[in-house]
Amino acid sequence: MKTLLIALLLSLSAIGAKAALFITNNTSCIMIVMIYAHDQNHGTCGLESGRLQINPGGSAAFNNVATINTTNPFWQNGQTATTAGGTTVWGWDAAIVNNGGPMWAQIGNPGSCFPTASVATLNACGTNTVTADWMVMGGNTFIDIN
Amino acid sequence: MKKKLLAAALLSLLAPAAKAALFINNTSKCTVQVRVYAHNENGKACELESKIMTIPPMGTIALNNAGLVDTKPGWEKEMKISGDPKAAVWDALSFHNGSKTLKVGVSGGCATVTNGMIKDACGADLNVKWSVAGHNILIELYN
Repeated sequence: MKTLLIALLLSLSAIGAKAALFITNNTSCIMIVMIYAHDQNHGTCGLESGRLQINPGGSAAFNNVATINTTNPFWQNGQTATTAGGTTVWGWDAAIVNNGGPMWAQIGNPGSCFPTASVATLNACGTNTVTADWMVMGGNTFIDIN
Repeated sequence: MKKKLLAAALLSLLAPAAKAALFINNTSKCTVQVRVYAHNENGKACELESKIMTIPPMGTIALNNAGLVDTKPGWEKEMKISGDPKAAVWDALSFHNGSKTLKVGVSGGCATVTNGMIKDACGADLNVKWSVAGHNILIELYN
């Protein structure tokens, strides 16, 4: 039984060569997300994406930083990201989540440009408070907007 | 204390999957074909079987809730989510390589394992892994 539990816990912490970014908007409001990342040519938060719109009940997924070279919201100012060197060299750093109104949540990894993992904004979605969470689990990064 | 911590960890694993997004991430070198399974609130496990979804290498699929499958790619037997789509529950995912199928998912659903290995359509070993990440469910396919 103990072995099973240990195996279970170990499997939770396993990290492979996978480091996708997954975004979920569980609110009833449109959210705009800007993503910050790094690679061998850009330091922490050196890559900055355009504005990604996520509709109510919508989600988005990016396999790696180079995915945004060719898909919405693209990197700003013609930036190009590379996965050269693997996940020890590139990674997701932070994000801004806003709704075009009172919400402006800056979330991210410790030591990044936005080192706070969770930001709650009052009345960010009509009368509802919205919480934007940045979580790294199993090597992947999740932004949950609730 | 330790026991309590473990219990908490286990409980979080067993938390109901409602209000959960499903993310599929293909980091293998081969295009994959999968189906997802879900059930309506108060429905029977795996009562809904999606049509085939095709994901290229380094491709992803993000489904905020099972209601999104209604329109793309649709459910088999022309079924639709009934009731609150956010209350529907993800049960399993099956991978098909042309001759064999591997199904992973929650225990008590229609899958017997949460992860496994199978040959992909390109002939390489493919891992298919179902895991719970916070409120979300993540399925990773990787060589």
